[in-house]
Amino acid sequence: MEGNKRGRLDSKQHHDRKLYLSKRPRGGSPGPSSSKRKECSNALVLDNGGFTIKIGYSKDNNITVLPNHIMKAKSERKRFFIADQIEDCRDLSGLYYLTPHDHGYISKFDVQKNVWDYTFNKFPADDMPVIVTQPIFNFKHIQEYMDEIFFEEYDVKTLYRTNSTDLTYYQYITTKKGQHTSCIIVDSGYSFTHIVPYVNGKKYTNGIIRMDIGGKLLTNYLKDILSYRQLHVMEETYVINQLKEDTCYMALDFKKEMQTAKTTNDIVKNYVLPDFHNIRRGYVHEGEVDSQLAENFQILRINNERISVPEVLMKPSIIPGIEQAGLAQCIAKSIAKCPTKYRQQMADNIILVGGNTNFPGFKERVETETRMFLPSHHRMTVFKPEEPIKYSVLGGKSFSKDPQFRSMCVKKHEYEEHGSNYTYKKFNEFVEIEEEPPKKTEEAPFSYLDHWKKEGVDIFQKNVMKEDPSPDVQFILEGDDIEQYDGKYVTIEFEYEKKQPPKVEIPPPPIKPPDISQLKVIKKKMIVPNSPLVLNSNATVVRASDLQPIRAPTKVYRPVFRTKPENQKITQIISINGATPMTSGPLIIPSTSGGKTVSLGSAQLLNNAVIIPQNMFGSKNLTLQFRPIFMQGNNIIITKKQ
Amino acid sequence: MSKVVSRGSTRLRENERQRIIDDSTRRRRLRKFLENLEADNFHEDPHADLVMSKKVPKFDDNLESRTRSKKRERNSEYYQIKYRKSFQQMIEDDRKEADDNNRMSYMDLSAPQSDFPPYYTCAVCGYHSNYICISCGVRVCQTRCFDTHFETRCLKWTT
Ligand SMILES: [Zn+2]
Ligand SMILES: [Zn+2]
Repeated sequence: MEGNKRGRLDSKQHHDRKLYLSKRPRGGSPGPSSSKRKECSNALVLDNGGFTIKIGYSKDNNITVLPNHIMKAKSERKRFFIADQIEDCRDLSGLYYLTPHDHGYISKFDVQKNVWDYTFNKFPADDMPVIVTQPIFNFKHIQEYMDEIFFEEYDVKTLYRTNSTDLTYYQYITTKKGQHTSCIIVDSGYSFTHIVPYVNGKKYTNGIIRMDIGGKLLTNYLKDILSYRQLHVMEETYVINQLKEDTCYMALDFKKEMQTAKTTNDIVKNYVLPDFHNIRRGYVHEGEVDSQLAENFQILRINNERISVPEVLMKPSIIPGIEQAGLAQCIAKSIAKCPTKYRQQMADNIILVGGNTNFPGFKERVETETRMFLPSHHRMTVFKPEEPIKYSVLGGKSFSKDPQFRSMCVKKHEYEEHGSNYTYKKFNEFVEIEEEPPKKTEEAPFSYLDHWKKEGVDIFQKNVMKEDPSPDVQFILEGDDIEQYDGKYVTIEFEYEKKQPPKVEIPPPPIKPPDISQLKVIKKKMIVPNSPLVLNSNATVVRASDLQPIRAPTKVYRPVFRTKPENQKITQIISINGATPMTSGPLIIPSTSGGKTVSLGSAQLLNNAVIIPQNMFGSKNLTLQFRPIFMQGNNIIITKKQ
Repeated sequence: MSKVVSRGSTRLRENERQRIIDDSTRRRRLRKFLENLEADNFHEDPHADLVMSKKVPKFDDNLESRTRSKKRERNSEYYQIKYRKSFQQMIEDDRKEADDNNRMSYMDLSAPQSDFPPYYTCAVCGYHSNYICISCGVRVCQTRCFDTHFETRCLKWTT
């Protein structure tokens, strides 16, 4: 098909969304008869995860999920339970796991072999091609093991080894309509969470980020806190994992939900633990717990644990000793590492797969929080497949039907001839980076504030460079201003005008800073006690027209910046001081119509500045309102100057 | 002698209150805690005592019904012996190989530090914490939680 004309079409194919296929097989050319071989069109796809194996034939629609462990039960001393044999086990308390993986990489080779033996016994590969997944940058040592076991032990005739994100990528670009070939895949599994950008069909290795947080850590953390606070459940991994899946969810506004958990009973759930005589699986008991239930069963009261456990993905520092950045931040960092011209496409194609994405609210939270870290002009779309655990196997199934598939596999005789080095080379082609040479130095995200400072631009009618070499712009409370400061709110109102109608560039990479020289601030007043100002997550951005109720009592002071001439819209401006935002909670904008609130959309906290895009301004006014918090050392003190 | 203010912590004995766990012990505790979060099991193998007896089940026994014919079938110990390598060793090898080939290695992929200050939670109740236990460095949120912590984990936690 296409492969035969490859020489001529090369330049055109750069824009083809099938680029993934046309670029990968660099070594060999696709066999001419590959698409005609009907007798071998079935293939076995095995996604070898740290917690479960996902397996299915390309010909049928089923995907089976098998535990990737060998388990030992306290009650049954005569046998093991391999994979789904555990369904035969009566008493699942104190289950002991033999897991092939260590940190997500196979390290107990005997255990893995036994699970695979069992799996292939159930799903014989016969002579069909086998697609098997491995973690990103799988160690060469493990790849050799896989070669040996697949080719020699299981006698596989044709093997394709790949990352599950590759299959996810294939499934996404071939099923999703559109011309996009760049996207970012967030794979949050049992052992870790990977963020993998794909640029034009290839993994962009410089942008890959691994967070060492996965389902195992979350379950173990939940076990630890429940054991300390309520009941010793350290040995009940199996039960607590189910409890996690049954009760935990991702809060949209973590702080608010925690407050709700603290002050009300809205969050709390009673979870009845299985005793494996009367109850085989734990469940959430709705309503009051009567004395009879409490006498006969063990009940765990799950309150803030419901949200704080999944929250570890967004704020890893919840677990003492973990300093990695949260998921939303990592997504933004990964995008920022990629070549500029692909970033918009990536933000538009964020794909969530893996078991942790099944937490209710996960997608919405990732959407809201990632939005805050992305440049304001980026559109953003998050996609979560219906079954995020099985999505990569779906991808493998469709990929096996691709005419190019065969040329990318390794045949048994090739392995026997050339050995493991050959397969290693063939299955790890992505390592080469053609388009952009690897850049170790990271491009710093663009910051308006830094830009203005560098240019010595006058934002608050003073030359930042000359007068204030310190990085913080300080607002000083003066005179009777303090009297009007009610200790709660400081409101700053900006009214900027631009002489020329703003140019509409969609999308405008690279970011063009507004032309400050055409803006003139004619009046400035600001009240804030004489400490660096810190935006915290309570910050609220409102339009001037929304401010009426707040305006009426004169306690709220509104310094105004005005520009000449009037009657024109603001471009992109807003910066408040150089202080770091306290937390990353979402900012809320009250909409003009009624009391409904909408999330901040594309406004953004970037390098200590708040930047609000043009489309958010209905009128020519912009008012920022926030509670000031002043930092001194590590303590938070709210002061009022006398 | 100064009068002790009557708060929850009055029952703490004077010498206990003075004790402060040094940095290296704190770090060891923390490392142990993080290792436990990575562990597959908290408890010991329930069949460990069977190892010496004849009754110990063999992995391969579970698969009597194997149908495929294999001429070169190897038992699972063969693979474990041939490929045995610790995770640390594999990371090291990976790094060497990555350097030679000018590619990213496992270590390079690790997520960067957060741009934001850490979010601390109380070790006892789970809500936001502003205080640190002077003795051991664990985060707590209020006096009540501190007392609980002091009486349960603080100095008694074995490392
Ligand atoms: Zn507390
Ligand atoms: Zn302590």
